[in-house]
Amino acid sequence: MKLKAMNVYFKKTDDLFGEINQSISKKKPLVQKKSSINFDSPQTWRSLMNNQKQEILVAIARYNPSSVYQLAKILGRPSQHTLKDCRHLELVGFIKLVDSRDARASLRPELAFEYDVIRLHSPMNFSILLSTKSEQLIERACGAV
Amino acid sequence: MRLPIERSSQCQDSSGRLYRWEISVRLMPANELYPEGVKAVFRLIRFELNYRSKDQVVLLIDNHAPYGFHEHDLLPQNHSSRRKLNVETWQTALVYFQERCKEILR
Repeated sequence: MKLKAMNVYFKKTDDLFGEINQSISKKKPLVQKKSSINFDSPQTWRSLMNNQKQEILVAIARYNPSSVYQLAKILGRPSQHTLKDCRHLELVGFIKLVDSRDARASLRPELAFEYDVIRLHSPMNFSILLSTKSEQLIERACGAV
Repeated sequence: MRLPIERSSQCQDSSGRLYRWEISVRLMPANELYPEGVKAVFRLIRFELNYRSKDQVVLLIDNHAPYGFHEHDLLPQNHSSRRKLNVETWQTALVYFQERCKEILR
């Protein structure tokens, strides 16, 4: 069983600007993979990606809600607050809000791609399990020990 | 120069306010809006974590016609005000953007 990861990297803004300028001077293209997201520090990660946003990602991965309204119901949170958090997650690149084109013009939250875990490439180097598949894999591994 | 150049990141300033910067330079078929066939957009967005407030674009530089490289200089209040930048290339505009970002994030 293979898990797909969204990779979170921590790099200072000056260093990222330096990488860009280096690519330009070497005349190389620079494309950001959809499976990688940058933060300047773990502190920025913690400030932006609070527990409520992480719960949203878990709920989307496990329950495939058909709308932000349904997602809010699953989480027991007000729709407007859930929508605002979803907008942030979309802007950062964790999810997409797809126009479902139904009568209510509702937005369907989807993961940016079907990833199972968020892998934080920090000195702590840990992963956040999102999908049921990732949870089962860990349970199986724990059972085997 | 080979394009695209695409990068983004989340960061914070010294007082803890959260931002996202985006750098995108792409080739595209030349048209009326982008006669040189290069679309450059450099943005700095401030996250508003308060549920009642909207996120704010605080710095925006792009190059569509008829302005060429320009900065939306009265952000976040006024999105239609523009100031033409005295730059010829997207590389120079990018250097300017990076300097402005550093000022704002200081």
